[in-house]
Amino acid sequence: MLLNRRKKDSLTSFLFVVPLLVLFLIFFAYPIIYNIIISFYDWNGVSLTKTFSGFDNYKKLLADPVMWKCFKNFFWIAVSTTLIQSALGIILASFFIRKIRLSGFYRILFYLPAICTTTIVGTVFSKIFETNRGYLNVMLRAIHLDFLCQPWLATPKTVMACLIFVNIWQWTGYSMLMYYTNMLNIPQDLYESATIDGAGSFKQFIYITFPLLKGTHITLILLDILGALKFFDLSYVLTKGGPAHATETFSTYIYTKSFNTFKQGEASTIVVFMFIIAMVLTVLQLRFYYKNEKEEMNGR
Amino acid sequence: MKNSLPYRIITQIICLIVLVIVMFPLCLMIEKSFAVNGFGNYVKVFEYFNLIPNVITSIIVVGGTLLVVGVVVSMASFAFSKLHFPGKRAVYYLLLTGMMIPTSALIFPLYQIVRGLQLNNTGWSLIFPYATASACFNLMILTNYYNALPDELIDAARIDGAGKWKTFRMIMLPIAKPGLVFILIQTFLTSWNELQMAMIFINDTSKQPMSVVPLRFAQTTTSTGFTINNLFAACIICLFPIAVFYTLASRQLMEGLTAGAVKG
Repeated sequence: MLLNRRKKDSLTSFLFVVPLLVLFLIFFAYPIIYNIIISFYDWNGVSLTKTFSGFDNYKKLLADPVMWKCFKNFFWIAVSTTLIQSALGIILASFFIRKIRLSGFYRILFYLPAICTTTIVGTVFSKIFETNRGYLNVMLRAIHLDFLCQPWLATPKTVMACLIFVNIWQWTGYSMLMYYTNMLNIPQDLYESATIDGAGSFKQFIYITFPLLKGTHITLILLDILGALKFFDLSYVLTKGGPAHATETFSTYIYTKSFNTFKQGEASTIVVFMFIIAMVLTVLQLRFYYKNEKEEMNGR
Repeated sequence: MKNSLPYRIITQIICLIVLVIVMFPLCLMIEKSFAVNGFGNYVKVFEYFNLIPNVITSIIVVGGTLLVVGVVVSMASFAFSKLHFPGKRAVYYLLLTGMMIPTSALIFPLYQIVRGLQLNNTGWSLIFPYATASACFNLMILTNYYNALPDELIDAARIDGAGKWKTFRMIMLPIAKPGLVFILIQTFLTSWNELQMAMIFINDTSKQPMSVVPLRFAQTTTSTGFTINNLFAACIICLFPIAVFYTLASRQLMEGLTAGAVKG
């Protein structure tokens, strides 16, 4: 009798989670399984017949220089946003936490790019980086720095740097805000006793602020790597993955394979590559949260 | 904390440099949108494009997404925080992995479903995929928020004879409102701005949501009559709804953040 009631109790509790679980299974789990299966087939995505091809798609893509370009671009976007964006974010946040003049004003404006639609951001920057009448080159000529003028988006050498710049331009406000809010949670008496011990503000930042933001660092690094993995909008709007595949990312390459060249088997294989990277990240993340929870339980 | 004079000067210089870099593209856009013809640039955009169907699609998509996210995430995070059932942690962590899954991994299989149900070219096709993505991403935030609320409230409600559903609806949901508002604002921004899925599921340009529309402007500029100034005016028009929203929501957004809704 008691056991039955407990069972019923668990069941009604579980019902609260069912809607989300159903959404997850249909819209996330099913597509992933679908892609894993298709990655072993040679299929154009349209015809009724598929041919089983084992690991052919995998072998083909691992020998494909464009695929390696995607891995390389993923790596550089991840590294540069993680380092530059986080550094800028934490520096700006440390100013605002010390309430420099106009803090509130700066905070709202620096976050502005993060709410803008990426297609609009891309459109504006495409006019800035344009070769002949682009505002950047026009400005450089106006101050007689003609030698710096570049066909920014048309040269494989500079184009990725431009996209990374725009990406950091758009998302620095987000990092800044995350650091700022978590800095607010650091107890003020830590700083007061440090001041009494004679530690200057730089030392306080290095020995108190920075280590106490460990959780924020991890979260932001994760979100940045995830952003690099998903990177699509800017590349699609500004360069369509070109010139010569210089800005090709996993997402743009999947898009091309699925909807332009109709090689769904290969597209699904790229999805599997992405998925493996995402799962490695997830394991690291869960491990961190788990460890953190344990520490909190032991600490208190 | 008192800031020294050199510190104050250096920080202001750095902030001003950042401000110029951040605002330059935005100001450029505004300035050019009025160049040569003034408001005429804006009038011409409306002559070239009828944006009303696009706005309607966006409203359906974002409205539907907010509704689904609001209901589904509220219920789930309440259960994960305050109720007990076997396998709770495993399910919770399974759902959290959802935030790691990139859109490109979903598009082709979901497009097949959407086309099969003949929902392509309608806003309805985007609601559930968007809702799922936002829900997994925001689940942790709202669960943390519920965790911070005292358990005594639940016990008190149970003693008064309220069932779980009643406790959830009448007691917990009203208290958790600030957390809910915060995740809904975030959901609004991400679903309003999403491009990749929107442009594939809805390929009829006259119905695409507002996040895809600027691609059409850029293509039109190459044809005669629609100048770069018109292009910038069109961009401003597209940014307008989100600017209004940010003005209204920025206070709640900042408060939600500072209330510790995001525990990093």
